[in-house]
Formats: sequence, C-alpha cells, structure tokens
Amino acid sequence: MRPTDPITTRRRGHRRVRAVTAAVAGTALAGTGVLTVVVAADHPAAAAAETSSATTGTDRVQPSGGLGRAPSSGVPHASSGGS
Amino acid sequence: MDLRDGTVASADWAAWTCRVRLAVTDPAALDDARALLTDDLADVDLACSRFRTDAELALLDGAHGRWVSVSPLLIEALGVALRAARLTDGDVDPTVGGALVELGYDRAVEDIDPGLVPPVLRPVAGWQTVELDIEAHRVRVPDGVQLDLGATAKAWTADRSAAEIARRTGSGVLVSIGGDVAVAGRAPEGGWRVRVEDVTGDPSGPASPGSATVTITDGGLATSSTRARRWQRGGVQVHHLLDPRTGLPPVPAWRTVSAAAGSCVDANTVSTATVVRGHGAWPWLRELGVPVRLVTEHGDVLTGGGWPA
Repeated sequence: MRPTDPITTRRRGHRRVRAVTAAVAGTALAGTGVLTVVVAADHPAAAAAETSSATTGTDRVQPSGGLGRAPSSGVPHASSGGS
Repeated sequence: MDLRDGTVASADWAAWTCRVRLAVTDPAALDDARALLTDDLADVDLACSRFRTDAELALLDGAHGRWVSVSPLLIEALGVALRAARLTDGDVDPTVGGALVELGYDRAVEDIDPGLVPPVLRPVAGWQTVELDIEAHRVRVPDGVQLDLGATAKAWTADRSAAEIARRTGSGVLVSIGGDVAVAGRAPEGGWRVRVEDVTGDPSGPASPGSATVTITDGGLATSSTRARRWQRGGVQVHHLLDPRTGLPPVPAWRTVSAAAGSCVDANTVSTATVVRGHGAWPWLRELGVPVRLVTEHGDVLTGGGWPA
C-alpha cells in the first residue's frame, strides 16, 4: 500500500465537497425550470450540476417497485380515490 | 378512531377537508406517528393553503409582482409544484389558482355560490412565469397570478411525512391524505392493501362498485377523479381539475385515474395530468411505463404499465 500524502488527501477532500455541492445543486435544479435560470446565474457549480441532473434521471417520473394483486380476503389499509 | 388489525395499527381523522389515514406496522409507534403527521399537516397548511388569509401563499397575492421572501417549506412546495408542471409539459400547473377562484372555488365546495354567469375560457398565465430563488428563499409571481398547490401539496406532504415517520420510529408506515397514499419503511406481509375507487372512502367499509384493490410496498399511489369536488357554476357542472390551457375542466375522457410511482407526488402528477390530457395521454403513459388504471366516464376500466389484472 502506498503511503498517504496529506496534501493530496486534502485536495481530494475539497474535490469531494465540490462534487457534493454540485450534486445538491443538481437535485435542486431538478425542481424547477425557472429555478435553473436563477441558480445558474449565481453559482458556477450549477452549470455542471445542470448537466448532471439531466443525465442522472432525477428529473423524471420515478417508477415504483410495482403493484401486486391483493388477496380477496383482508380489509384494505387505505382507500385511494378523488377527494 | 384507532384500529389495531394484526400487526398494523391505524388512525383516521379529517384535515384539509380530506380523509386522513395513518397506518403503522409497529402499533407502539402510532401515537408518535400521528403527532408527527398532525404537525406536518399544520405546517404545510400554514405555508401553502389558498383558503387562509394568514397563509404564506397569501403574501404572494399581495406582492403585485415583487420578490417575496418565504419559508424553506413553501420554497420546497413551490419547487415540487413547478417540477410537476415541467414533467407534464404544463398540464399540472400551479398558476390555476385564479381560474379556480373564477369558478367560485375560494371556499369550501358546499359553500360555493352557483352564480348565474357561465364559466369563461381563459388560459392561465403558466408555470414558466413563476420565478423561484432557492438560495435566497424568495419567489416572484406576476401581478394578478394566483397559485394553487392543491395538485401536488397533499401527495408531497404524504411523501415527506411517511419518510420522516419511518425514519424516526423505525416502523413501516402508510400515509393517505385524501387518497394520496405514500408508504415508507418495511411494508406488512403481503404489502399495503389499497382500494382504488372514484371517491376516497372508508377502507373498512364495503367496496364501492367498480373498485379494485392492489398492494404496494414502496413509493406511492394516487387517484385523481372528476367525481370529487364538483359544483354548479352558471348552470354548468364543474370540478376542481382544470386544463391550464382553458382554465376550465378538461373535455371528459377519464372520470378516475389511478397511478403508482416511486413517490406519491409522482403518482399524483401522472394521474392528474392523465385526466387533463384525456385520450391523448396514452403515448405519454406508454413512455413512462408506470402502472395506471383509467376509468372512462361510462365506467369501463383500462389498465397499463403492469397494473395487476
């Protein structure tokens, strides 16, 4: 195993922080189209994050694990209808 | 009333003029879960209600197009609403508030003045006119545009409350707000049983004609229906689901649409947009591939996306 260089470690840490910042911005950007304009103007990280949100698939309807057919017996736990 | 059925305990009450149902797989967690959900409902109501003059949302109406500082909670709710608008190409649009008021829906449905003047076709301003600045916690809405977060707020609240209850209590949980159902944590054996029907009812009561019961283990399930919140306006029967392009209820195609997705708010986004799009929704639904159940005005049922037969 190679010895750890503390300077390199610190640099990597900074990169991780920037990556997390971009990821958080990407999640926020997934929220609204207008927001994209506002944030992109203020934050350099947003440009990269915008690309990230477009490629990670967060800005789309997310599928569930699917539905099953309920057994004929048993009281439902909830009702879903208009309200 | 609290009911304890096997390993699942549940509680029912009314909020936001809706039925609220909370169910947990750990009966010991029910009281804490109910307190959490009650607090969440109160917080969201104070931030997002279109029917309260003291709600934060009312500040936007009086701002006349200026930027307004709002709470992180309202910022998040607005972000969710605008995301739904973008995902549906504007079919689920929060700027329908003014159109709903024009139709008399600025009070409880049973108190709406039927009026004498028929509704007028008037497209809404559109979600793109709303500016949201998350970093500064502020929002700007054009003068005269009123927002309504009803299409997404219930489902979003169900999602966030269910997740928080599961995180804090460790229990599996189901939250239903007016039939917008979110689940989190470990589901009971066989999954959460949810009965889909035209109007949200008492799950312990007899099944309504044409209903179906399915199971879910994650995400959410939502139903949008033209059979709920209906009233007369100027001699015309209207309801609360509007086509933003006309400001009026859409041409009837589906009376009730149910959908399941990775979150309740996504499920509700799909079900509401499908009611608005009518028959034109099919290509979009095929592309999404999520389970859907559509009921025609005549009661015929169509399913897709893996909805159980």
